[in-house]
Amino acid sequence: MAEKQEGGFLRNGLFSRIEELKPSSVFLEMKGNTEVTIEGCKGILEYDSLLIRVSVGGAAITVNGRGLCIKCLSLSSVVICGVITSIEYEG
Amino acid sequence: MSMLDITRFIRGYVEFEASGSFPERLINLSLRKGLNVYDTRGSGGTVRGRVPKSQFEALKRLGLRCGVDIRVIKTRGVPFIYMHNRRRSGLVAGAVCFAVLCYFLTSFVWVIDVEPTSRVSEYEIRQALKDHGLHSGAWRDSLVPDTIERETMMQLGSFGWMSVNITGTVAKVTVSEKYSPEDTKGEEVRPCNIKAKKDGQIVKMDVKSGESIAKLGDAVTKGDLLVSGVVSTESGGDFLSPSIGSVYAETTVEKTVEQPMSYKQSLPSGNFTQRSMLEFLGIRLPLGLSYVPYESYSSQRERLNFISCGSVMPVDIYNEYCTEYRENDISLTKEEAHKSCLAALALYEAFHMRDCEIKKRELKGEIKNNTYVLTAKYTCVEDIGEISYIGVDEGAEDGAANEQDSGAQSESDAVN
Repeated sequence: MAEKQEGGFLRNGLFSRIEELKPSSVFLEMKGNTEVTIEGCKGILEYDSLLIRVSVGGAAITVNGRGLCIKCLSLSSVVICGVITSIEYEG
Repeated sequence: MSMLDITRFIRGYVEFEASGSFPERLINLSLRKGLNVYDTRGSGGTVRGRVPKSQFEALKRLGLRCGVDIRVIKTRGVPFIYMHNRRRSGLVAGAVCFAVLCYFLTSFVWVIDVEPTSRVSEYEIRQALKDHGLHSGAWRDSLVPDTIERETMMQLGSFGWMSVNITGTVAKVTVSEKYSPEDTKGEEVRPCNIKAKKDGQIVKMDVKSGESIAKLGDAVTKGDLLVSGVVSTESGGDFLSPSIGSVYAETTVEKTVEQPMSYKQSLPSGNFTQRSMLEFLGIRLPLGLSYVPYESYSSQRERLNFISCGSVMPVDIYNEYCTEYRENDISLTKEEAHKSCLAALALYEAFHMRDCEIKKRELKGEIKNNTYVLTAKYTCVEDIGEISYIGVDEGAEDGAANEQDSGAQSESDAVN
């Protein structure tokens, strides 16, 4: 018989998913060093070909590189492409 | 160019440059206001981007609110092209004429795509289609595919199935060859005999099915039964079976070729002329002023097609090469006439005796009435068997019907 999980389904499953879906949570996905997707962004703070700074609620993420541009922008996510050299998190 | 680019071009867009203390704010605000700002580039404290023409005024108002100067770099798209050219009535008239011309030209069949078969060439099929109205430049509405299919099949006669599909300005013709009994030679399933089609002496028999009537060394004449389809069983009964096999016999063939010792022959004089013509929708227009000044000439035509995207366009260039021929009196010696006859015999052997194995050839040459006559007597080995069906079905081939009587006779002979 399967051992009963501590805390049950609500705490371990559903609540943890809700935590993930909180607006403050940020999700980054990189494709090599040429594209990065930032989900949970609140706006663009700085936009230059060498640096793009994105607001993620109480923090900011800085993407450094060459020939950077915003490929796609929506209310909650941004896709940055170009040659990415570093990503900084300013908490 | 993707569909998105085409849509944006049709709607028209403005490429702008935003500069000021905080141009990034313009992007954030425009996003929240639902403005479609795309292809953004940031450099040197300015942000460039594109916005649809219909949303540019709203973007300008946002720029005023956030203290950003917006400068138009360029405008592109159909609405701007229309705005710039709305006073030029000639362009509008030209566009209308273009649309009408496109509509008119699409009323014709421009390209005919034909798949040749192994027995009928593409040229023959195209000529037959032309005879029934389907050619490059034919008025599309006047064509009835069913009628063209039926009449072309009746004319060529060697198609089992044919389809003409007219899609836009392209007519695709697909053909399938007719079933021929020769395709299944040696695979007969109906009861049949094998009879001799020539006189000869049998030297080899390879019978796979049926009962051999003739034997090795037998001399047979045309029409003799060689292999019977009526097979006797050990219990005394008979049954009908297809006769399959080859019966080789030594036969004699005599061929006479003649060569006049003196005659007139047209030979190329060395002069030639080239003419070129442009053919468009069946109309030929000469390219140049050259003409053929010769009384007697042979012409060789070459057609150059224009091909676009794998389809042959209805614009051709015809090149015609005309070579002058003059009559010359030619007299041959006996040796030359003999060589000429030998060449004619070689052609005969190549085309008419290709299925025979020539064992011996006796030549006899003589001059009769100023003509050299060469007689060749061949001794060769060939398959002299031919199928003769027993009985007649409703769907039997013409050849089988003709042999009904002889086949039935052979059957009764074999039974007796």
